[in-house]
Amino acid sequence: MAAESTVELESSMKEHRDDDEKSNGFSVSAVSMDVEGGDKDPSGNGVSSVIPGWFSEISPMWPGEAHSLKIEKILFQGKSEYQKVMVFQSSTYGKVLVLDGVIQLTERDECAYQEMITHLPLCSIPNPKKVLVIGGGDGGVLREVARHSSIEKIDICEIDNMVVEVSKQFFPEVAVGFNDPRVTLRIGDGVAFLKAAPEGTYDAVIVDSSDPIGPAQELFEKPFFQSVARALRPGGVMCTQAESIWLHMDIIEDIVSNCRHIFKGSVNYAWTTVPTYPSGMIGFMLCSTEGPLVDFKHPVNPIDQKDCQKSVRPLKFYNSEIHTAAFCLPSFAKRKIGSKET
Amino acid sequence: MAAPENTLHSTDSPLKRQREDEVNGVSDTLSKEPQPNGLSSVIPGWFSEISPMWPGEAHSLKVEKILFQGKSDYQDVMVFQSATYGKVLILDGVIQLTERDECAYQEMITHLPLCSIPNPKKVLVIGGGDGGVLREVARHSSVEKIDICEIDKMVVDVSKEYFPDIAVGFADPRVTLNIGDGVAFLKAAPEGTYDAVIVDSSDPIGPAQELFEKPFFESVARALRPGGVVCTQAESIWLHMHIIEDIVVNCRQVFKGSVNYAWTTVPTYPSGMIGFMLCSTEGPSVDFKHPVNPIDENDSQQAARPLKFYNREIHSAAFCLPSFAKRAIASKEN
Repeated sequence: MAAESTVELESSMKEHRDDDEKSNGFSVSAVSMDVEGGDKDPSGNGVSSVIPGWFSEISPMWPGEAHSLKIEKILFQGKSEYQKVMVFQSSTYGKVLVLDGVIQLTERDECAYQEMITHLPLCSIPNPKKVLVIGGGDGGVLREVARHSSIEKIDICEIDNMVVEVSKQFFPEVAVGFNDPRVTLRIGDGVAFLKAAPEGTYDAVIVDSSDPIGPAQELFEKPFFQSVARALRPGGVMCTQAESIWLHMDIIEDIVSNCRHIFKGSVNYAWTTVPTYPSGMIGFMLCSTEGPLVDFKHPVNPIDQKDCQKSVRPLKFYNSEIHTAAFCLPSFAKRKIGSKET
Repeated sequence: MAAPENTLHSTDSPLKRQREDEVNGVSDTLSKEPQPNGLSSVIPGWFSEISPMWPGEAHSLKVEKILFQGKSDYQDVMVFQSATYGKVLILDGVIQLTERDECAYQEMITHLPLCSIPNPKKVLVIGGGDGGVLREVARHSSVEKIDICEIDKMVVDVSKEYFPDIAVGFADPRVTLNIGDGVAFLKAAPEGTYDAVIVDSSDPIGPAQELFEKPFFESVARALRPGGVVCTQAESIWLHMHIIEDIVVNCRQVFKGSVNYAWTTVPTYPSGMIGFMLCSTEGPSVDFKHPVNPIDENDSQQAARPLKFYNREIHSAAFCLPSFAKRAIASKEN
């Protein structure tokens, strides 16, 4: 089921200046990626979606706003079986990975997302041993899982081989996660992989997916959560990317009610700051299956200094205080999510 | 120190709903100052925030209609109706507030200090000409006197005209508005006057620069009672860690009580967040992380509308910092 992707480098492109006419060419090629779905926005027709020489993220998922990063150099552009893949060197956020026109990570702020999506679940249970990562083809979540010395087995199922290849080539400090001997990489459909997994296999499942519109759609639906719950041991935990309370409260409410139906242990919502994600933040849904009680807000398995020093680099973002703080929600979100409890 | 004489003129009437080609004219007036050569600073029909304060990135909002453009003695002032964030107030090309997310900033900058001390009575707001902080201060029934010193009258007038739900703060009978220089106002204030000072300023580059410097903090400390508190806007840990470190150092020298850094999410501010510096003067000790003066439901319901953002848990959580920021700020403790 491996996606047959060709990775090619655009070596011909030199560093660009603002007044360089070639930079206009860049924005045009970026436009063709960005305006996808722009037909939903009639006034979007003919609107140049980017500042010349800049990458702009415009999506029907967050209408009426755009975040733009200045491009120093486009390093890679390709199209896999599943999505458009681009890597560029930005002027102030390091290298940037873009899938279907949406920023997935930048070198400058990837620590927040990768550390939080990984350590929120893994620090909440004692001695995690078997972990499954769905998506996460850049390898960053693997890098974080590998910090936990109790871990014996890390499975990852990523649908798009091009993401893995591109990450290995352009983001060595993120893809370093693949080097851990405990990691087994499978290229394929996460939904199918989970269905085939023996019941009660994993201590934790981390779903590092893109947004619910696109190839990751199924990963936000109830049958998928049922498969996750099945693959987890009693008292096992799931953490999934769960959008922004500022932009997608309606989607979050649906995810919360789905999860409350399926996960009979704890169901909690947390969030973190990530400057390059829409609205500057992203949320996580944390759930546990019936069994030993999991109190996500009070982590029982802190990452200690020893663990951190063993790995590639010290933690940049995560600590025990910010773990607990991540579950504190603004009142408007608390009221909405709380109302789904009954 | 008279009020700057501004003429308010709404561009409302001649401009119909903008089409892309018309907005290009608008964007030209927006692309103030040293925009990089030939770089169109905006997506046509959109407002883009580009600043040397956060190089290499821009946040853009789709413009439905420009409601006001003016130039005061101090800055360029603009109001537009955005497609998805409600009305937006821009000063010198920088987003100050949007109707959609202003609750986060206004509630946090106000209730972080006021909920940290028992029975605040006298409060001074420096800046805050939109009135949102006043609206939040007014929720506290213990407060008897609210002084505000805003340098730019145009901000007040524009807010009253276009942001009635924010400028409602001016309607509270406890409020006294002074148009003038906050630095001078503080120097003239009798020693030990205020229980709390809230500095709701724009960024340290521009008219607000002095408000981030040590002499200003000294004036604030002087105007506060022993154990009084100050809360000031203090940038983003993602973008301006060096500025924050400087502010922390200054504050630790000037304020002999507590000195703490907190932050909140605000989607339309650069990097999607903003920080606050909370300090107390020598005297009764203030534990900012554990608020002693919660806003109860009664107070909130008395006000025009319930709190949208602030609550006791998010108050404490605001002081939890990512490790990189914690290390940088802690290194300034010595």
